[in-house]
Amino acid sequence: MAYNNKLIDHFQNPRNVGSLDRDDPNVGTGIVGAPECGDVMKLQIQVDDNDNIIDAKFKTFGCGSAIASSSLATEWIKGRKLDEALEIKNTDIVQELALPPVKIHCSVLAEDAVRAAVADLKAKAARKKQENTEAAPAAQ
Amino acid sequence: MTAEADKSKQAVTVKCASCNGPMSSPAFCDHCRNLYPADGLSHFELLGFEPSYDIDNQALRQKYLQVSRGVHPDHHGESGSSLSLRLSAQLNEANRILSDPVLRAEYLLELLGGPSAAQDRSVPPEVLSTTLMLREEIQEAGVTGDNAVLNDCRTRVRECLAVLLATISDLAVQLPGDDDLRSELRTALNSVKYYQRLFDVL
Repeated sequence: MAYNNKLIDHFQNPRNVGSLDRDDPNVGTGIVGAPECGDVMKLQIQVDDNDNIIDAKFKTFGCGSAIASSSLATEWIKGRKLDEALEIKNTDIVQELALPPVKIHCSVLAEDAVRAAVADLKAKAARKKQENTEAAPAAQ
Repeated sequence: MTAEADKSKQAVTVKCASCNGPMSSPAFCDHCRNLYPADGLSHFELLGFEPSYDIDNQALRQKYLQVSRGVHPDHHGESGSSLSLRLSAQLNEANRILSDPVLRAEYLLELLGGPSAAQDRSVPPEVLSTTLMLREEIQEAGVTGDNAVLNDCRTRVRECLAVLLATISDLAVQLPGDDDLRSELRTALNSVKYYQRLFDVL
């Protein structure tokens, strides 16, 4: 089976490659890996003060499918609300890029990376909230 | 005394069904040169070792050569040739796994019920960030052709691997151990792959 054009395009012209400032309170960083193959993926998101994802960057050291999966994921989450980013499922990536069965773990990696980045951002926000409102309990 | 240990002791002292002579491997009688199928036997059993991480490499090598010579297709005519081929392949695989400290730990953990890499994919976050950082440095140095940086990366990967290997061997000698020990070993074995993979790009 030949790889589909979208996959090849994302592999050859990956979108949003790069890094954001890890220490920025509005930036969440997710680093995940696949122990089967030793691939590593870093995905970062930046939000505005209303939890809109205004930027996303990734660096993936792995096969073409892993690069394409993370490239597509960053494209999809840009412009979404933070919680909407979690709606992206690896199966959507599999379908869009027509990943063969042996490459499904690459899409799982991309989904995991998005989740890890969102979790990191939420943890940062929670820490900040705690620091700022030690006296007043948070109204959830 | 565990059941596994009992079984391996048996494997070492098993007698030949044909001549009743002692066998150093369940696959081959040193005395009458009879071959026996070894399907379902562990790599340890095949080479007459107890299922333990602590293996004398020299003894393993000697045993592997001795049994391989015994079952070699050149020494077994028409009737024994297919079994002889099968045993030779099995011996090669057993030697490949048992002579490599990482593969041996991986195999022994699997033999004792895991967890396998598929069941437990955990890896310490610092392993991921370290390997990611190394990969970024390697990529950059590759572009600029900076050999000093590449050499430095190689040294660091080797150091990290040496530390991990020491951890693995520390844990693996305590197998079967409890759940905590096994999951700690699993994590260390998962981590090794990330560093080994770095050598592919170095």
